[in-house]
Amino acid sequence: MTDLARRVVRAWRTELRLLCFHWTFPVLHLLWAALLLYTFRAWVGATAEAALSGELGNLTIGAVSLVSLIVGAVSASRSARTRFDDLEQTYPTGAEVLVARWLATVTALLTTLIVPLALALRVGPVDSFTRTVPRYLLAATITYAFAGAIGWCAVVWLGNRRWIYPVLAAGWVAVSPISRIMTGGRGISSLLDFTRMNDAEYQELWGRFLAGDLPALFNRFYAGLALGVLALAVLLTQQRRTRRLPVLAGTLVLAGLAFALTGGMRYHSLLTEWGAEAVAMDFSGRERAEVATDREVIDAWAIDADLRDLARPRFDARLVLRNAGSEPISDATLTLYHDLVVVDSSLPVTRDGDQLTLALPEPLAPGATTEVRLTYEGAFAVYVRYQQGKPQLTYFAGPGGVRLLPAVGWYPLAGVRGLGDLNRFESQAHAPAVFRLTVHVPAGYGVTSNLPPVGDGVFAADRATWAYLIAAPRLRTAQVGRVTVAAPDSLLPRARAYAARFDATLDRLTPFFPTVQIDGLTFALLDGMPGYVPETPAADQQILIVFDADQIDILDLSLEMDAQYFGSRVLNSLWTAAIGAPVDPDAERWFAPWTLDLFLWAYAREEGDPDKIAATIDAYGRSLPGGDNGSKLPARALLDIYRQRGNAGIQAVIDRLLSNPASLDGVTSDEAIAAWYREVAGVR
Amino acid sequence: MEIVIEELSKHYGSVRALDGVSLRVPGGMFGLLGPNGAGKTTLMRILVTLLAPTSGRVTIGGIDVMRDPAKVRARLGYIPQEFGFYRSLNAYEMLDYIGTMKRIPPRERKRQVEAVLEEVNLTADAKRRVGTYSGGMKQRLGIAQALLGDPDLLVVDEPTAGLDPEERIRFRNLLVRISGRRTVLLSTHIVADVEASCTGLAVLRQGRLAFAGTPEELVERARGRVWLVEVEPGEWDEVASRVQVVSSRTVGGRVQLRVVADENPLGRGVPVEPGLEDGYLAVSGSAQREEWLVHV
Ligand SMILES: Nc1ncnc2c1ncn2[C@@H]1O[C@H](COP(=O)(O)OP(=O)(O)OP(=O)(O)O)[C@@H](O)[C@H]1O
Ligand SMILES: [Mg+2]
Repeated sequence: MTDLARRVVRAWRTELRLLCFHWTFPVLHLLWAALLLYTFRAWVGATAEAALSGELGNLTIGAVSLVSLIVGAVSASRSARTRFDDLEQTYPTGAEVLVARWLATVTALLTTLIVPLALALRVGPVDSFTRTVPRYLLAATITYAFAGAIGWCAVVWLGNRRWIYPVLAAGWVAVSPISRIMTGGRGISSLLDFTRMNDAEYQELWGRFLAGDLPALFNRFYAGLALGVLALAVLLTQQRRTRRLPVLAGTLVLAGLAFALTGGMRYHSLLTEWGAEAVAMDFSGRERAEVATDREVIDAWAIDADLRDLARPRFDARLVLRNAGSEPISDATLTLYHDLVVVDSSLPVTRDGDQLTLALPEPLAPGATTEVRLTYEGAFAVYVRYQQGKPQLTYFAGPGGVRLLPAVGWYPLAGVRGLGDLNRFESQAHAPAVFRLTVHVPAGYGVTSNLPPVGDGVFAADRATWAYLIAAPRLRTAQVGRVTVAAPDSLLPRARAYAARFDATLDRLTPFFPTVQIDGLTFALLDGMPGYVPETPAADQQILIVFDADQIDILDLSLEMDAQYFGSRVLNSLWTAAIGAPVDPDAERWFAPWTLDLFLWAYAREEGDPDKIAATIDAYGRSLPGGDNGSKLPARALLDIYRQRGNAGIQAVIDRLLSNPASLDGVTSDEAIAAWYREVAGVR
Repeated sequence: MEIVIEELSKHYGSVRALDGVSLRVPGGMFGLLGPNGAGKTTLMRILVTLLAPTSGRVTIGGIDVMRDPAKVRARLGYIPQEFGFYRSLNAYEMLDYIGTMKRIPPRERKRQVEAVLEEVNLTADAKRRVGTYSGGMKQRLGIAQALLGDPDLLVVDEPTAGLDPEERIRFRNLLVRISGRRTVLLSTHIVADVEASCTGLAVLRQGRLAFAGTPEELVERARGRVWLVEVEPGEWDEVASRVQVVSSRTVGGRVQLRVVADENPLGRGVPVEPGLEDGYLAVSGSAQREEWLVHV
């Protein structure tokens, strides 16, 4: 070890010891552990990565950043407080002592991460944990280093003053919550919040991909500032001690600031760029987009999506186009997202924004069809502003993956459609059509769609009203019985367990709907908000259940107690299919009395054991607000029917509902519904 | 190591803590005497690189203190007037830490730490937390840290203030022993300390140099001006306001005063052989003497 290294290590070790062996250190750790264990006793996150990227991570980095400011100042003023400063300033040392002590404060603070890391590890899984730990540690280190350097610099500059501590704390309060309240966390203010409490750009499936370079630039900004501020503290001490301008420290101040500034400017310009492009997402209004489709209709799509080179995604589409009007047409209008460039087609194409006009070689008679081939390609990114937050990458095709939903018009749609209006994604559904989607992805990428999988990377349906396509490095799929699971890699094992329950339920319930042809169920754990259309049947033979991956734990509760959730997903699909519900999302829906759903859920869950069904129905009644008893009566009536007539009794009730729904009109009270059940099943 | 001070001034606003001091300290043990506020600490803080002077120049062993403070620090041991240590470390750890900062190689460091602990008589208490030390023990630890690294120059600002007589003498002897090979600059109020140990000394008064030379020369300054005079208790105030009273004692209802004055006080003083303290008072208290002359 060189002389210099020895002094660094010694100063670091001594400062660390002085910090950690002080009585406040274990006390603070105990309080900290208690606070964290209490705050996160129920919910930490779906995975270790979600936990450390979400509230747990933000709170630990944010709260400890305040401590870093204070501890930095405490360390910096230690020699002055103990009157050791006059002695040590006559020792032949340089900046290494300051730097080593500052390092010791950062080291000491990093021990506060032990509890959050343990909490995250408990959530698991291990690969999610190991994947996120480096990023989390880096973020925490940079934040603590920056805050510690501020504390140091303040004391070096202003001297050992008591008022520095409240001023530092006030600055912390001002920077984080106030900046958020004043600006709604918008724009550049998100950069100024060094506590990172505002930071939540994480999704289970995409990690931080959707936030683009922002997190890295944020880190860069504060790493640069930490260096600059620390170098400034060194400069001030050196200038005092050597009585000349410390050139190296001065250079480092400038280098740190330049590094931070360029990072900050890039951050700002990225936000501005995205902000300019961003589509405002407003969930309040849901009127239908204007659709002019009275002339042309597409009867069949065959799309070959070649994503192997994600820098240049390429789509080869074959469409069967039909003239649905009453006049012959000589051209056809299609809608395709404007960033997707048509590079080849079987017919001459002219383009105006999202609109394609195909010149037909000869007029197409009413009712006649023609096949059209279009090849289009392009990487693109659509940013959406949710409420007041930062614009977020929402629909995209490019390096990192694809997230393509009907709202963005990633495959040619018939007629003129308002793609700019992403609020109205539900209206992007089209008339049922044959759809075949073949996808090629880079190695390691998973791919999923709402369409039933029929082969490796091939999805197909006969009556598809919309189609999404998602390909991501973290996406994994698995087949569990008739259930296709698509989930982020870290959640796949859990998703499979749920899928098994869906599969068993499907097996038990589909026999009650003999007219329904359900081949399977797609259970997709994706991420919230981009506009999935869970209420629209994916295809007539496949049930689609999309669930927000970040909230997988809610599934536990749902599956345990909430018959409504389960009923509304599997049973609604069954009822809808049985009735042949209209595609039109605004049309009136028909639902069975919910006590029937409750009974069917209990039946499926308890594998037909009448005593257990009774207990489940009772437990469910008790779980309702006010310990509802009303539900018992009709559900108990169904149980009686089941006990006396078995499945046939229940089948009779379902058959009657399907064949003559009107017979239930006016039957609303629990007593009346129970009596109706009994009458239909011929049971007293 | 020779210290050369040229026209050194340090101003705090309108306060002239040092005002054009020029002094040569040839080496050996050198005393710095002066009343409170005379500028002793200020001068020493400039020498040990803690303070930048307003003007003037100081070289230590040929090294310019302002230009090359790092070089000075490498050869320096300093005991400030007031100081402290990290209270939760023990003396051994504290010294070991300081030894590292003073760039003493590891093996040598352990030996030196043990040696200085022995020198200041702290070996038995070396494993106790410094926070539990008495004032005198802390003072001794201060001495120990200054000795670490075998400095060529030892600057000592009133080190004996908190020591008991035994430790004081011990320390004085230690300084004398050390000063054989190097320069020791000792500031103090206690003339006896200087008398017993210094080969050269300077007296500061209100930021100016009032005397520089050997102890013998300082004694000479008082020759012929030291008197023993017996006064009535009622005359005391009058005499004390006019001349420097070195000491006093009561002899059979009358008070016998030892005074420094240019002329025979009250005309009935008996001239006596001067001492160092008389010399010190003669140079540091000259203002009062002039005043007295004017009045008579
Ligand atoms: N930081 C300061 N600001 C203003 N005035 C100061 C400062 N330090 C010292 N002084 C003034 O400078 C003068 C010399 O002070 P200094 O401490 O050098 O005296 P000293 O000889 O060491 O006294 P003592 O024997 O009491 O220790 C005093 O008048 C003091 O008030
Ligand atoms: Mg002093």
